Amino acid sequence: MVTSATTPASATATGEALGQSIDDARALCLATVPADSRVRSTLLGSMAKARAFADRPDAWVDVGQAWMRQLRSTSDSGYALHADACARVALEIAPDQRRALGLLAQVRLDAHDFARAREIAQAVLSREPDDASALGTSSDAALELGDVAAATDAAQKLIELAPGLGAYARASYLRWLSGDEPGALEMARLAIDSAGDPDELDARAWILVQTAHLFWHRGDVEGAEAGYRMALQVRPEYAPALLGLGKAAIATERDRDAAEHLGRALAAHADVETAALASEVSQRLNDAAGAARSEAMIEDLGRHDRRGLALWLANRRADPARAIELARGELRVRGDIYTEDALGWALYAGGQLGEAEEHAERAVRLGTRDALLLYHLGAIRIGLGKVAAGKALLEQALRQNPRFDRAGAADARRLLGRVGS
Amino acid sequence: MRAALATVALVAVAALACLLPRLAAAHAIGLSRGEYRAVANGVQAQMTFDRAELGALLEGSPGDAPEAAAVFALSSSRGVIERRIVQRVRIVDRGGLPCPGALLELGPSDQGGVALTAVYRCAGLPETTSAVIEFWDALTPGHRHLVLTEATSPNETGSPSSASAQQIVYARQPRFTLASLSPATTAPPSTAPPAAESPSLLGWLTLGIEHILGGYDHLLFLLALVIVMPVLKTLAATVSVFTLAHSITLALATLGVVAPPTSWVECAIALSIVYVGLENLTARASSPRFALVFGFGLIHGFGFAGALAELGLPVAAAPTALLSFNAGVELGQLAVLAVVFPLVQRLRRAAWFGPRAVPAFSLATALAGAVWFFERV
Repeated sequence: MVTSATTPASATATGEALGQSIDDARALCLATVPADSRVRSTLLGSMAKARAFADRPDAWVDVGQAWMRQLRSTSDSGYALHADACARVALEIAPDQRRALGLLAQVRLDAHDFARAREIAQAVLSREPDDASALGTSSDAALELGDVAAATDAAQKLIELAPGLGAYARASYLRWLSGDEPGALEMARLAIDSAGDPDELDARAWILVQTAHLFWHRGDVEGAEAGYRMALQVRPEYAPALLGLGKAAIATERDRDAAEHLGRALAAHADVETAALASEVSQRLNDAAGAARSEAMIEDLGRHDRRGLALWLANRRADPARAIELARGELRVRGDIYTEDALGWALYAGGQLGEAEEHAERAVRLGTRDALLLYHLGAIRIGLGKVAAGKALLEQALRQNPRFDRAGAADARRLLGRVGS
Repeated sequence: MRAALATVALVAVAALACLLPRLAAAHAIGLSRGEYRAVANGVQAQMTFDRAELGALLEGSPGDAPEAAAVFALSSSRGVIERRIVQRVRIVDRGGLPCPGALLELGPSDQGGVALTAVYRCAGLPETTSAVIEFWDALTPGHRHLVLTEATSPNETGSPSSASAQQIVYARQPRFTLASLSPATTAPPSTAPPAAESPSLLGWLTLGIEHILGGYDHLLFLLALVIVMPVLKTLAATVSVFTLAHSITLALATLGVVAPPTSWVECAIALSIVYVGLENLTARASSPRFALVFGFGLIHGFGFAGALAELGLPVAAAPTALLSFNAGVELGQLAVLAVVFPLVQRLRRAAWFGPRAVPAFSLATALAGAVWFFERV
């Protein structure tokens, strides 16, 4: 699955219940920097500046931005609290400071608090319509809320105002979502060409992975693998690239390779999807202890990824009621196509096929060329007795990407065999 | 009117974002607070947690229940809290033996969270001990714990005084330092936050550049020299003299040899700008002003030293950090001159430049210096 422009995991502070003071916020913003931080010098430099020029909101925003980079380069979502605290200090000094509000919006976006992220970004844009950071945040938040038109408008404006990696990467993803593969690739190439800043290795690795996903969805496993490997050259042990390699190895039935890649991905940045695949591979390799370890991780990580946990439960047909509840909860705050798909699939696992079809249809409404979405809708329609429509979708899914998901593709073939291909 | 409304809207959004309780739907990362105080027989801790986060530890997850029910549930679950939270703070006594933790009180906090009081009984604490927090697996991933440590010791009159320090701990940085509270053995910890880490050499260099580029008074002083100096060679010599002078005082002040009061230095810098602006209006300005520039350079160097001191120069790395910072100041200065000098030379060709622009700029410089002087007095 191609993920959106936001980072996968994250968080919101709960400091209000503690009466978090501005002194607390300063302490959080200037917290000790881990010795192995990739952005250590940036963090320390910006902190020294914030101490020296404590009355300048920009100095605090710079520290917050550095914490956001630290967040993106690790699996510790708690760094969002530090960035949030820096934004609070800056806003205490200047309540309408645009950069501080932009940072706050980014923190909210990362915390999956999409409505508030969009609200803050829109407030900034109402005062300064050309604020590139707010446009980016607004586009990302709108997309997660299911408002693709608004996301596209904001991304288009961003391209006009500040053409660069962030703008082109968003455009690429939006074009892919709407089924425009060539357009997505063209934009991805522009994004890669713009990713020359040696200080932004994470961003370069990220766009390489996004581009590799485009090849993956076309069924070009080798092309995708090449992209993931390029990303690893830019940033060794980059979890999304390792996850991609793990999926490619699973697709080509190299389970030992897959176990190695996924193990490294989990060590670098654990998430539900990676742990679920690691569990699946461990089972195939008869590694019961490894599978159990991964499953324990899934439950733990699912506390921050309801959609991932719901899909995992639905795939196993285990506790469909919980899967439905989790997906419904996520859909209340996140109306994008993948959340619609997760709810549709959970409802299918729970036998509620009528409602499942409604959500699965919404998941493919943009014409996204993702075989998994087509497979889910196809299976649901066959379950409802709409054999011809279901069959066409399953065939389309397998034509598009025959190895989109080992268990899913096998199930699609089984269903096609049952209804007669 | 529209701008005012937009500002009000922005402020309202910011306030909402900062103050309103977070939506339950968003992914919450926990933040808790702990005040640790050494007492005669060990350490006393007062901790505050988010109700929903702590409630998730207990069966029936009372976090979302009405407050009374939640508190009841929490009271009935003291064992769980004691085991999963209180006893996961590791403090050792002077002999290296663990100080067992016990939960004393549990109840709602003033801000709607959960407050608990715990005690860690020890035979005796070392002067400073490093406590380790291990309760992370009971809380949301990414949890941060704001630690406030407090120590008491006798002051000069013999009566107890206390001092506190704030630290942030989390799974990857789980240790915090706790000073013993034994009046006989310890001095209180500093009220200052833990020693700040320092930037790299490149970081000091960058900070030096940023300092000069943001130091409008220093820049104005330089520009006032440039505008009346048409010969590059003379300008280069003058800037070198200025650099030499401010390097001397920067080093002397940073290494603690001389330490004039900052307020005097800042006032003197402002006066130097007034002086150079006024002198530009006289004929003397076009001749080399090495003595004057050297003298004022010494004053500006104290100003740079003040900025460096605010950045928290590490004692161990003082010479290298000093050199890097100073190099950054020079680079920034040269960058400004590289842009300004050719521009001024071009303008100098205009007939109005000498008789009109130079006096006007010089007068404005002197006025700016005067304003700064009165602001700083």
